[in-house]
Amino acid sequence: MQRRHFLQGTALGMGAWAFSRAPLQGAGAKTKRPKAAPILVVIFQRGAMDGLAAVQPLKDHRLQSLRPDLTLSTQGPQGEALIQLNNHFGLHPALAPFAPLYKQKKLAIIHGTGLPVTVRSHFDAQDMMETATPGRKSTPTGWLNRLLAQGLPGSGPFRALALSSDLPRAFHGPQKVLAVEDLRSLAQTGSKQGPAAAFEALYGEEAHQLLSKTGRESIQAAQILAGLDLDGASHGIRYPRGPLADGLKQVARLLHSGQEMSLALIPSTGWDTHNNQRGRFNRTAGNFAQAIDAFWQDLGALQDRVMVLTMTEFGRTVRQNGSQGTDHGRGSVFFALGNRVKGGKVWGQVPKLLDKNLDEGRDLPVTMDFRRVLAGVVRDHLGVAYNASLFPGWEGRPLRFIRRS
Amino acid sequence: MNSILQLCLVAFLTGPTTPVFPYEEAGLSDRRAAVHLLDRFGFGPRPGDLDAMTRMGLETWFMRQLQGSLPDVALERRLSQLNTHGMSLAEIAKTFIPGARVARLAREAGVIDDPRERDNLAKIAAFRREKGYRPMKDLMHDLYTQKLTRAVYSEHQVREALTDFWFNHFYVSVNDNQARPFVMDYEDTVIRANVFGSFEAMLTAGAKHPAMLFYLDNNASTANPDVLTTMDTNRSMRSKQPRRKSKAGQNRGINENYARELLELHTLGVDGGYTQQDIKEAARILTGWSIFPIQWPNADRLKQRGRKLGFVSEGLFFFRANMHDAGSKTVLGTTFKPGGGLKEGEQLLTLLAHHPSTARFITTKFARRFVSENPPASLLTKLEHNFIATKGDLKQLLLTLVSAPEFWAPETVDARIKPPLQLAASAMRALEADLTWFGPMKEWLDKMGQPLYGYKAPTGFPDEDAFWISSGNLANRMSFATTLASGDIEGVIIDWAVITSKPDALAARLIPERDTSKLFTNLAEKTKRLPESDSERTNRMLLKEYGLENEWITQDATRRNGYRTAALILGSPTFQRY
Repeated sequence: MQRRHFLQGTALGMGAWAFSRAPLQGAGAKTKRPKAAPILVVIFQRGAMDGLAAVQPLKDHRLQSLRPDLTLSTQGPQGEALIQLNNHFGLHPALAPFAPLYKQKKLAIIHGTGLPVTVRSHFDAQDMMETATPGRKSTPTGWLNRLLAQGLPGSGPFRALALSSDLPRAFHGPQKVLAVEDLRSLAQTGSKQGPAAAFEALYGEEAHQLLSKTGRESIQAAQILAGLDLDGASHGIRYPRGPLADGLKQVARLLHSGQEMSLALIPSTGWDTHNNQRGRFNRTAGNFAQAIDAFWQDLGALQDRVMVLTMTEFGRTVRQNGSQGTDHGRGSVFFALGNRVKGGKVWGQVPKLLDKNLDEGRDLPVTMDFRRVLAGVVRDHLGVAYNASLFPGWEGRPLRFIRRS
Repeated sequence: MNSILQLCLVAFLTGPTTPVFPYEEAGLSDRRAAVHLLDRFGFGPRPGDLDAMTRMGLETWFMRQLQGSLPDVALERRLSQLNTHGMSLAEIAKTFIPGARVARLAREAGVIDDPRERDNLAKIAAFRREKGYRPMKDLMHDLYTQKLTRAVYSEHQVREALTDFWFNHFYVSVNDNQARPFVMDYEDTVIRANVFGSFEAMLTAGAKHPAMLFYLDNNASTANPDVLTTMDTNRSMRSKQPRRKSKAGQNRGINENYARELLELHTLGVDGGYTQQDIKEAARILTGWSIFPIQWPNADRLKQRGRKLGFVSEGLFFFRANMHDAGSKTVLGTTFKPGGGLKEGEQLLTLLAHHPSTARFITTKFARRFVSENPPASLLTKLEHNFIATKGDLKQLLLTLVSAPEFWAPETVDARIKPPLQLAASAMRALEADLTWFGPMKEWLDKMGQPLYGYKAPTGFPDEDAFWISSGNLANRMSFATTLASGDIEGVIIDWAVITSKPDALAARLIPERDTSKLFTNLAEKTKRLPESDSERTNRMLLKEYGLENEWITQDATRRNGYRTAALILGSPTFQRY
């Protein structure tokens, strides 16, 4: 088999024999059981999710006058009523799949979080969050790449995976990351119907270092994927449609096949609701929650290892605008899902919605620097000893919202 | 005798400043040097290009490129098919309107009142026709088509390569809704028009263009609410009244975005020695730099009335005296006295264009794109001194670089990875492809990691090989190679009847003057492993249905071999390099 050719000398040699089509954990790892290393799946909601709509304060009657078309109540027709989480907060009905996870204390909500500086541009804010250097746009490395350098376990082509055609800023840097919009098309390249085999020898012999190394890795990844069943049945789990669900499904297949993966980053779009927010948020949030819930169910026994963290670059204005939508704001909501997450709780703060409590009289303030959340994940889920170079210029404390193993 | 005649001819045609390219000393043949030159300062050779270049001499060829007066018939014919052909920027801005805005304009005009009424779509369509609005996608068609078309068909290859570089430096993105309609004009009038001119001219033209004013938000940057504006000052001077803040000020305040990127990305560079205070002060200077409100019904009257109060309009650029901070500012140690008006912004740009840090930053970036990721210090020094001595003359900078031995050195030649546009355009040129529709090709560029005009940060695409070649997109390049060669990229037509399938001939087209020994070892074996293309499969199945399968196998073997050998070359590491 020509695949052997590439497996010589790579640490992946062991795990790559797991070409099994059965989605069982550790299946096919004939020589060595993969380590039960933790896995982080980050979903970046690009476009600024309205945290106040996602998780709405229950007892602030000002909301009704500030955003009359967007405020919901717990008394409402089925599917339009807020789902009560605790005495203070209600969950948007479109996010209903999160409610049982919250009750099982596996889902935590972090409110009032975001960048500690006011940035109104999506791209700037995303850059700052992905490089974890608020206020600076010229940082060349992303926080996930720096995290890889700090020593996450795992090797092999899927150790760090970005499901987008261009490498997201969070992953920029010297550590190797596989950026591919669709694992299936990469698999196609490595299959019998794909071109990878024809180019194997050429890239193997190539003198240009970067080309030969990347070529070999590329072909290796493609051929491994070709041996997996990426379209396989997810034991009866029904994913909704759309790129987020599709990406999560592929990640689940990859994990079940025994491939080593430490970090994955998947984008989620549709959140920039400047107009007609009610319907649009409903649809986007519904798809979002269903996809994550399906993924969680699909993981099965892997739930012990995987944590899902959602992030968004900023929130939206407390007041609705003239088009039944909202504009760019500041504090928003991150969700965290995992067996060791201290769930069933809303971390962070939402003040009384008086102008004097709002940032510039218009925005939910950021009372939880997003780096506290990231640092908590790094230290307590991934078990990486915290190092100041991971978040340069920051001296805050990690949020302790995850139980250590 | 011949060479003296040649020298005289060269001198006559090109004037006294004809450079000498030191490629012989670097061990390059004429042809190999020509490939390198057209690869780095163009999109690769077409059949016949190398002959023409070596016959007239590389230096002569290059100087003709700089003159910019070559006949460009094929290009002009293609560009005349564009939707925007013959339209001014103002006309474009008034014509191509996105759907959501048309709906809003219709509502404002009273054409529709209840957004939920069912026959609104028809009313909006009628409104659109009446006003002559066209969909934004027609403008985007032009933007992407002209980019691909120029790369593949323009005779002015050097100008196109430089336009690509400088656009990426003074980057604007179509992701910005407001900037989007202006990007194509920006590329043409700010960048392309100045690539052989001065850095300062390009910088200033960009600072005043709607695309940049929208993209980096300077359009919305106004003096802080409590501050005296230039209009206040002028008004008080005219009425001889003491200066006071006009009540009409709706100034929302300073937006520092452009000022920051101006210093960090466009001129001094992040290590250029400026402070946060410099950014703030520069932003104050640039308040009021905005866009003329062409959509206002009585906009033209503004031009007359406003002049006396200090408003200035230049094309679509509009200096709003009522938003300009009239106070005194200090940037990089230079004081700008109160009352500077529009001029102080222009003076700021001059100051930045000629700052020593700018010379260093710009020339380093230039060398990083066209020479190597780590250009030798000897070259950087030479370029920096030239930039300072010529006050930012971009033509001289270019000539200095191309005349430098470092450009022709073995460490430089063939050492970089082609970005996807370079890859695609060089393939299309070598195969003499006919581009009839931009769509699928643009999608391939997206897939390979280069969304044209769509990079997500104001830095523009990084000039780093590792950015372009990651595992994901190298695999996409292999798929691209097979799909292109098999003729399965819609809108790209390759005439295989013209292109012979002999490996040597194909290599001469696609990778001229390169060593093909490794490529062609076990060629049959390698090409056999290539997947059956969609066209091949369709052909085979059609002919099977008609019982003509054997005929296809013999007759079309040539075509098939041509496709497969071309696919192998196009996806090979050799073709990824330049």
